[in-house]
Amino acid sequence: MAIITNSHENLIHDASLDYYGKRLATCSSDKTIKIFEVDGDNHRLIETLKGHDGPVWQVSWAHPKFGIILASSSYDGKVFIWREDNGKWSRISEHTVHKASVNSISWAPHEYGALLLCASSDGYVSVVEFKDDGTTSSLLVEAHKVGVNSASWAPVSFTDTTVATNSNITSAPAQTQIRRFVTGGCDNLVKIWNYDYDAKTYILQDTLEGHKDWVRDVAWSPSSLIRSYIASASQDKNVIIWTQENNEGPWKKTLLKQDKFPDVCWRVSWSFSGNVLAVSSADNKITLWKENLQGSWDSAGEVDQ
Amino acid sequence: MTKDKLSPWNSSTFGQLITLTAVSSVTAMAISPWGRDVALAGRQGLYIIDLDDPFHSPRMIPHLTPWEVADIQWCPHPANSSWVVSTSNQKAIIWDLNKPSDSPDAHKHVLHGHSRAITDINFHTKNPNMLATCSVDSYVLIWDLRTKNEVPVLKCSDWRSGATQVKWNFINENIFASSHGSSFYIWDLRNKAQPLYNVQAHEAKINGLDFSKKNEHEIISASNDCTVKYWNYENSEEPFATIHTTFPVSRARHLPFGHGCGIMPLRGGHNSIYLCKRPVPTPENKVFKLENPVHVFEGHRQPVCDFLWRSRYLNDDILSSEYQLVTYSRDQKLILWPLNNSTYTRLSYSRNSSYDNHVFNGKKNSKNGQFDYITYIDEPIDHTNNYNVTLEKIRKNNINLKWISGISVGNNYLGEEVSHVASMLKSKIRFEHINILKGILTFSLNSPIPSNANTLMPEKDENERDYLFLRISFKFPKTYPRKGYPKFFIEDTKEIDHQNLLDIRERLDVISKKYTQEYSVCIEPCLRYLLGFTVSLEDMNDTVTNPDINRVDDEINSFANDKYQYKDDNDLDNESVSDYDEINPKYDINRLLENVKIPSPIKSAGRWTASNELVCFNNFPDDIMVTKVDGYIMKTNKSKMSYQLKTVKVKNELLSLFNKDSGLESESDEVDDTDLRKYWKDMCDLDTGSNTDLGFMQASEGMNQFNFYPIVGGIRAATNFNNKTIETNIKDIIGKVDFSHLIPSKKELAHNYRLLLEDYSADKIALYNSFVTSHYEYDELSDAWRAIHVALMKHPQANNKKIEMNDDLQAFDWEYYSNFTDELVLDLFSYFCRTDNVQMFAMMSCLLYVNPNLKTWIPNEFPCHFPYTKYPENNIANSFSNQVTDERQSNLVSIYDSSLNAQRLDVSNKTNADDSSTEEFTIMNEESENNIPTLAKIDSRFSDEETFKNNPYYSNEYFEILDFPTMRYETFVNNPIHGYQESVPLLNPKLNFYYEYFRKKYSEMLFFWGFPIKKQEILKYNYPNITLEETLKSKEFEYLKVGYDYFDKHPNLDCVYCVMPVKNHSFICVKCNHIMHSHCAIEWFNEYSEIECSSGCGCKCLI
Repeated sequence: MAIITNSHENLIHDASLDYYGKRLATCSSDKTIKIFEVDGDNHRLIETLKGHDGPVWQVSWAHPKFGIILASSSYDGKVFIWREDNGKWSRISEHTVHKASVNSISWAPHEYGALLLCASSDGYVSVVEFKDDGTTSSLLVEAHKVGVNSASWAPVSFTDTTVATNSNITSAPAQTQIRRFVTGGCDNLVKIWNYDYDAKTYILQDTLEGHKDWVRDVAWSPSSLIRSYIASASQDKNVIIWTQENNEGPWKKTLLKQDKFPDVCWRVSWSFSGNVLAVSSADNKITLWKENLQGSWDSAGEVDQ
Repeated sequence: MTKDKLSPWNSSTFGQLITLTAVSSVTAMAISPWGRDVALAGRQGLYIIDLDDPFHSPRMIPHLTPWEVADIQWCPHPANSSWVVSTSNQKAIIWDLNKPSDSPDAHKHVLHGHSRAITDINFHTKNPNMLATCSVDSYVLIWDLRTKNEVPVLKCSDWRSGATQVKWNFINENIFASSHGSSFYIWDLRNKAQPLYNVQAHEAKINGLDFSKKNEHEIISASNDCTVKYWNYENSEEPFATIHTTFPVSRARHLPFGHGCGIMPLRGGHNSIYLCKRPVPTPENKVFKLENPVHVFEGHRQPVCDFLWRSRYLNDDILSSEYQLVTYSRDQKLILWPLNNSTYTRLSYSRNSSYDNHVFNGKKNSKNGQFDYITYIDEPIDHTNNYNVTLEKIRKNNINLKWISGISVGNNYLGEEVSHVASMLKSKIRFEHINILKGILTFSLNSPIPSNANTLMPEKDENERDYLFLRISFKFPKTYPRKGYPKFFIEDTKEIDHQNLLDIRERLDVISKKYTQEYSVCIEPCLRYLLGFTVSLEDMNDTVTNPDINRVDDEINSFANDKYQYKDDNDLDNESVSDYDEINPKYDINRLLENVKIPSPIKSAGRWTASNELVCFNNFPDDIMVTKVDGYIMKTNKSKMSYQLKTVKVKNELLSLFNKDSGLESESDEVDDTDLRKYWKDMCDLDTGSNTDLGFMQASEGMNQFNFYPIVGGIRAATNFNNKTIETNIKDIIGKVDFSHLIPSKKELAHNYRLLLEDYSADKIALYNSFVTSHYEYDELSDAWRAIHVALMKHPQANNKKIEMNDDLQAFDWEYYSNFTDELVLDLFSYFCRTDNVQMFAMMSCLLYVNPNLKTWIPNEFPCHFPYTKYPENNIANSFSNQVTDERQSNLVSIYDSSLNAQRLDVSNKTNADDSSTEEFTIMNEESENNIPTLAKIDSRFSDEETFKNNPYYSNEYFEILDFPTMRYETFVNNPIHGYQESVPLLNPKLNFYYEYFRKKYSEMLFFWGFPIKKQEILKYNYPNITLEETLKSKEFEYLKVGYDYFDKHPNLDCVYCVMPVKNHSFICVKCNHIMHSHCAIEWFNEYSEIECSSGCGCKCLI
């Protein structure tokens, strides 16, 4: 159990371990991002990244196929992309289309390329594409007028599995991919967005009502292929699991827990495989949940900090 | 349409910042000369918007076209003030807004003279019947609308490049200019097609031209070469001033007031409009930079399509006029920007502001008072046709909520609230009238409230309830929602008695007062009350929701006090901004929107990692002091500490205190009271002195939880701790907790699972895998493998065989359930898909894979499973001998047994032999007991990662340890055996996609775990063709033509070994064209001594 303490001068807002579990990135209200090298129980601070003008809310590692790339989002409305090259960290890109705090960032499944989804308090989400030639292009979608708190990509899925079956999975035409993401915002709603290959933008597909207060976090489970799982955590102290069969049709709403959580729910996180949900709430507890065969959710563990 | 005569000086929108969102994509914009209406044109048609009442749904004039509208202009002449001209590819259409939109009269003129798309239209500045168009076909056409047949009166051309702009001179009515490529021409109507001047103006395409209104020969040009140039074409062929920008310029125009110009970028430039002073050139300096613009209008997120000025004049006094900027951008937002006096002053426009408070009585708005201040937003009523009158009524009632939701007016939140209410309650209420600026809303709804106040609300079902039709108006004060609450008017109907009406109104008053105070919204709770929902005034958190809550809770407060103020909607003023600025004096707060709602910061959370651990972090609140002493995390409550220090003096008191308060002070319920009390006593026996109430968190190694065990700190210890406390006060902590036991895919199983096992057939490999799982005590998986083992049995007698299932499953008869295996397998797949057991799903899909070309079983060959065949009747011996290929197997005729038995390792020793005569085969497993120790050996090896990494899993040494349990079988064939039908493959071809998907996913997992060979083994099943030739012919390889050439063109190929992109130093197989990093290839071919391709395609790259 590696424990790092007092790493920042102010509140920590996110900690993220890279794909190989070797590097830990943390970000804080002290406007810095720190990179630790983690090896078993030992850790070593290797870099402090500075540049943001406000608290840094989230950090996110890109898939290693793009290199050692870290994205960070801040209160100052900016998203920075950092890269390690031969042990040296540098800022390789800035994304400044947002006009207010960027609350969440999330990399798309690597099959789509280097796409970063950013959710901002200015009411927009943006999808930034980092192209191979070093240029970027971005798409802006007004998602929740009052402010977007979180956004999360769906795993790669296909419109027509028979098309994909006939060819090899790796060479299935891009158009059969369903590119979707989910957003949660200050209008208490959860919205599903789908990429329209003709319009070349993301179109609102579903609006899910159920929360009675701000939706603080949304997470699309990366693991399930046949059934989509979305977890949404809200300021109303509830977590809702939304499920959809075969990537189409209505969304079914299940309360994770019949009674409310003792405090505001901050974060939801799905395991990479196995569909285990971790819920972080303001009482500093992290609870783990697993679906049973009856379709309701059982507690599977707890971390009390 | 002059029924709604207002004065521009009464306009509620002038001088405000207003944003409107277009419903569909629009590309061009025009404003009426009197500044009240805006016309937007797009592929769907024209939209007319009344800027004085932006909440009114726009009038739509449908004109579907596949082409983007390049330009639209409102006729600047009072004679034709209802005319608007827009482009439709090569045609120009003049619309008459006085005619109903759906009538053919709406097209006043259609001008068709160009052969390609029109790029610009310009009405003549003096003559209402003249206009000019220019097009990509390089022609400029001049039209006189008085001529018959609508043919151009003049054609002139540059011959070489398409025209981008055409503009009439404001002073000389014969002069016009057009731009072609990088040069512009000045033409004279009297000079026919011979240009007066041809100016080679720029180094790149000219996007905009604008004549001066004051000087006949002065013109501004804007170009892609990032310059704006001022010309006096009569005097010189050189520009008298040049402004350099950092972006290609789309338009640069003289301002209608003062001395300056407005510059609009084509792209970049923060999508803003820049106002700058007119440059004052000196003979030495004619080049200027756009460094200090007077004002920058920043807010659009996409390039701006056009910018126009809305003005209001007071009689003829030019200095009294006031302006508002109107911009429309590709982000579909139309923004009205206010201008302040300092901007006017800096642009040398000394506005006579004494008129500001003047009441304007006239109805004209223009310099010369030519135009009525009217709007064309309403459809004209055609009095000859009654049908149209009713239609118009219908249209008026059709309130477009989507439109309203796209509008934001300064600090007016009513529109936002209405659109929220609409989204929440749209099915239950009807919007009758909305006037947001005046604050009047009218709804109608069916209320379950009883008509008579004396009867109670009847307890009836939803369907049986009697509903009462209500029409209710809300009148909001201007100060709402900050102050004041609405007045209610309920329409009197005969169904409702007067007293009840008063009661409802009273109740609404109470609700609206309460909610306005608490949440600054009240429409939703009021409507919910009318719809019969319970609206509680006590626990309001649960009953009402709203997006505008001022969310200053304790956390934000504490956080804000910490360093800076987070902006909140109710104090969006400068205070919070300046607070922030104090800390960051350089911080460019102007870039950020004010009035945004930012959620309170997260202070603790957990996040899954790829290796199934949870990374957790926590920030401890200020009143908790946390220290780390000798691997323990100590948590102290500061506020309680002082309390303790005062009271904790006498042992007994202390004990009782602890007992009483333990519930409060404990951080965890897992307190063992007796232990604690003992500990407490021990501690207190030492000495008295300062005391603290300490809780500690154990940094557990074997445990999956952090736990805070409250303990009562001893005196000496506490003193020690206190010394350390100052040094090691912990504010935050980050750690990771292993939760891999919750994830169904297991690394230890991956290490021990087999797909190929020397010369054992598939069914036995399944049995082997079941031993592996039972060794690790995954009973469920072990049962599943046993079931697969049964399903894979190649046994013609199976049809007649009775199989005893384990206790959970019923006794089973093959005769009645010949589809048993199919169903069983399908059930297993769906179960593992459901539980997201990628590993099991992928393993099953490989082991059950049927190679259609393989007629008999070849040991150690991929894939090892082969299809059932129809055995010749009465010739069992032959069929068996076909199957059996080596000596060892001849003993092993095939097994049968009730192998799904609960006793896992004991594969039944003759237990079924005496059962009945129908038993045909019996298994004897003499050595089964020995399996336990051998399997135990694997475990120890596995835990030592280093050893197994250096030993490829099937090296001989390894294999000896893990031998397959030896079995001896005896057969008793009593009855003749019936032939059975050729079986359906166990894998459903319809699910091939899922099999491939899960194999791919599992192969990634295997690589991540460090099993590259197992990864390749799994991937082989995704190349179903038997021969390499067939594989290479398949689709994936079609585009992978000859190696190096392809690699040059497609630099983003991924290494088949590590799945990372290959940049340089690569190994490309000339046969299968698969690419590897050279270091990956060395690792694969050397260290693992492989000869086949790592992709699993079956190519033997090195041979």
